[in-house]
Amino acid sequence: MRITNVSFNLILLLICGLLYWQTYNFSTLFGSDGIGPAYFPRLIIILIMITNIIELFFSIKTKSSKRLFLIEHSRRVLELCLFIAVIAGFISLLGTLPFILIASISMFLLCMVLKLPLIPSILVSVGLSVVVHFVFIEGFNIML
Amino acid sequence: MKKLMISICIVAIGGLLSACGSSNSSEDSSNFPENQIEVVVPFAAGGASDLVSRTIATEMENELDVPVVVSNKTGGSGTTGMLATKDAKPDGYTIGYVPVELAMVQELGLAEIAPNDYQAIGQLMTIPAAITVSADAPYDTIEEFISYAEENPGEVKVGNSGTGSIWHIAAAAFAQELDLELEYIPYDGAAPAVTALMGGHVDAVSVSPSEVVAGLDSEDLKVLAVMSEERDANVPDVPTLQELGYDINLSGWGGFVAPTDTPDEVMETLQSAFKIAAESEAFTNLLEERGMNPNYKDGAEFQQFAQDQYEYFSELIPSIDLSN
Amino acid sequence: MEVISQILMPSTLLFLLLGSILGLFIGALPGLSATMGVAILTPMTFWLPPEQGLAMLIAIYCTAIFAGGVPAILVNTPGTPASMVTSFDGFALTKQGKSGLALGVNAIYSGLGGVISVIFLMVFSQPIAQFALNFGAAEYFALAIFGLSIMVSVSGKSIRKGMISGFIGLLIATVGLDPITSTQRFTFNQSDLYEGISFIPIMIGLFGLGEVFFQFLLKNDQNNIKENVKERSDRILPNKKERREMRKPFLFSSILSPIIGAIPGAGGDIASIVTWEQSKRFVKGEKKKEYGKGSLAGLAATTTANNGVIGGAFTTMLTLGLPGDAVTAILIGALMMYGLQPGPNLFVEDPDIVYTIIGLLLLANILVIILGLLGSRLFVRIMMVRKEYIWVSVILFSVIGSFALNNSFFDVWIVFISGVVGLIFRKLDYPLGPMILGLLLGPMAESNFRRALLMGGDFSYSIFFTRPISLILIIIAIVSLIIPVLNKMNQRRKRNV
Repeated sequence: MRITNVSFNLILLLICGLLYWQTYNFSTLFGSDGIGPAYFPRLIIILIMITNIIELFFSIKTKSSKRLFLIEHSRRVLELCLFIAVIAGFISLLGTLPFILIASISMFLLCMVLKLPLIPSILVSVGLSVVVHFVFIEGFNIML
Repeated sequence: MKKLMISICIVAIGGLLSACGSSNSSEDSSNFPENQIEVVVPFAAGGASDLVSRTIATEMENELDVPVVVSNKTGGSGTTGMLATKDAKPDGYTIGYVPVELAMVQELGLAEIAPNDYQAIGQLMTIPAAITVSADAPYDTIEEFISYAEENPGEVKVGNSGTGSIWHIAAAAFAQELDLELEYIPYDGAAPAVTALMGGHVDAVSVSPSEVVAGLDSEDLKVLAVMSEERDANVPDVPTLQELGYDINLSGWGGFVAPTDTPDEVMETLQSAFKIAAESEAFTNLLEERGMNPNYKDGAEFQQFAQDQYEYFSELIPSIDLSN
Repeated sequence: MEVISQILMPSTLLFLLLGSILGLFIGALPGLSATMGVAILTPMTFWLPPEQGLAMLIAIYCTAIFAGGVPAILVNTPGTPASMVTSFDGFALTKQGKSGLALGVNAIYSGLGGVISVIFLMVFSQPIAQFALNFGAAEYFALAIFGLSIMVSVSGKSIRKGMISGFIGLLIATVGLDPITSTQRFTFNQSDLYEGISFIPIMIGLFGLGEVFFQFLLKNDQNNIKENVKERSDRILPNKKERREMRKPFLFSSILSPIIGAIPGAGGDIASIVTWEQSKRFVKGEKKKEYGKGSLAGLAATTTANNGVIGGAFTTMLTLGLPGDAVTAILIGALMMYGLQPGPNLFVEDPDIVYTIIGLLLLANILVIILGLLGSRLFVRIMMVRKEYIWVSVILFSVIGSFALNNSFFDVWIVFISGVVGLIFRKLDYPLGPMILGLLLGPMAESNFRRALLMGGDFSYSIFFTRPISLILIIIAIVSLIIPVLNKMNQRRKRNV
């Protein structure tokens, strides 16, 4: 847990640094309004950095025995990665293939990752996809 | 058993697909239109551009006998929708609504879009900029307003619908022509700017008369001048700046376009259906109720007009400075 | 008299009911907001006579706002931005197995809040609308700061982590064209980023997908096996003791929220945040600590607020012709299509339509209570199915709902990324509430701060302290910022002693 916390804080610091550097590249078309467009982002980034450094200090100081994941759960984490990957696949296929097809298959795959019984999974994934198709695509005229 | 279930499902899904899936559009342009036509509107549902496009779409549907549906592709200050139209397949099945921003976004550095990237179908309406002030303001004519602004340089606060928006550019062009020093206060849209004027937080707004109608009715606001060539229907007694001898013509406008390289016969079909829709009763009623001025231009005229506007803005915008 | 008989015509009532049912679905599905529902259905009502068309639109508006609280309570996914705060206490109650009660409170107090705000509208419309006009840039900035000060009290265990989360929210809100000079900030020349990262996809991702991912990991945890299924009570109506607890926050909220609603640009989202925080003072002792952890008083205050703004928003619309919030902006268009110009003249030229609108608003809010209570049982029943099926549906609806907002794939990816971020934040104990507050109020704070400086001339900061409303709001904000910190320090000192 400590290592994760510390690395989270460090990554955040790094991102803040990069974004702070970015604020010097803002170019205005119509001149400035006094404090300018970079004022707020910089102020916020500095605030994040300060709180983050304080938090980093506390993260290093506290010796928590709590772990992010128990060893027994590593399987679960793998499953979650698979779960998220299926969703990412679903989103990237949106718009290329007919909606009902990809939605049904992706939902079915999600059910399989969740180890749900086969027949209800098929019914739920196809049923949901059809309902969504009619409500959103036919009903609200959404282009997919 | 499992395999059987799966194959049944695949068959079922396949059946559903063939029932719901859309067939591909045909390549032959002489039979145009055979399928649904999509109108890309770069703004959200419920706004003025959306209502205008939906009404035209309904009327074109009657004319063309195929569904004409509106899809709102918002974002990017209108560029997302305009880019979608520009990049669409030039078969006439995707057309788009374009606002005055078409002639401005390139100079504003938002997207590489110019009127040349489209083939015009026609123009629908104009919405002029105007100078509106509070009814109890010490000036009753635009001349008095101008001399007040000359006496108080940098003091007169003019609200607009956002920096780089057409109403901001209009106020800036006005100030430039008259050599005034105004303070521009940008708001997130025209309505908050009008609200601020009614609350006395700004001295004037440069939005269109149609957006201040409620304030005119309640006699809280008054329009001093409009910036179009002709007088505005909402305020027929208010003079235009051109009548008063100032060379200013700034209006919002809207029309329909198709991507370039759309076949000529397809363009002709679309243009003639568009003309009928633009002159239909439903549409003229809509414009009247919304306080917009009908201004139909055919494809060629609209193309030329958009190009002129593009050249005008390309010169004007770089010369504007927010901080004066 | 004629107006009453017209409203009570079966055809009008039918459209009212139809609108309510539609609104229930629109609100309950994440991604479909009340604004969008009204916008899409407005053109479809034009072939109806005004009273029927308005009946449908008003019913959709009132019900969708209420129904947004349903997924907020049950699956921690606010259906509309206005129900964001509902999820704080509502979902906590669900975890305690009291989802029925939470839904009941949501239905009853949303409806009652709506009814009271309409009565308010009838009595005080003119003075309130005039008061709301006093809100200039300095006041809006103070209101935003006031809302942001609540970050501390929604931070949960660690104020430090809450602050980091809140500041990240504020930073994300600066992406896009800046509000004053239209300068591109952090856009990397992507046109998808010009208008910033939309708020609703982030909300759906953080709360909806993030929650699903988080629960997925917990699934086999030993301490989570004792699911709340067993102790799930079927009770929906609050008992006498609970009603007493909620009375004062409710009354407070039902008076404050129409005023917030009347301020143009401030809607249910801001009203529910502000009343949630401020209603705390009406709760004593131990109950105060429950705020955010399943407090009925807090739930009652927010649910009252999100429907309570409706009366206020209509006040501004009808008396001044200015939109009080996004939905009334569309309704102004709808009234114009019927040949009616909202504004003071409407009261003179067409008093009937004004009374019709008021009558319809009353009926629609009463329908909220009835449909809400009937629906609550159904919703609780739906939640009895295996959690995994609900997860799959939440994922599908989140993905499609976010696409539906702008027809944009970019928004769908935002949902996905926010979902993963939501999981990481939950795992590391970073609270999400402050981030959402920052996202929501950041643009309001920044644009009005800079606008006020432009207006003040010579960029003097005194404008924020010389205007009374602005000064008062800033003082309250500072007080509500300091008190939780002091409390926490006190507690720590006591513990150390």
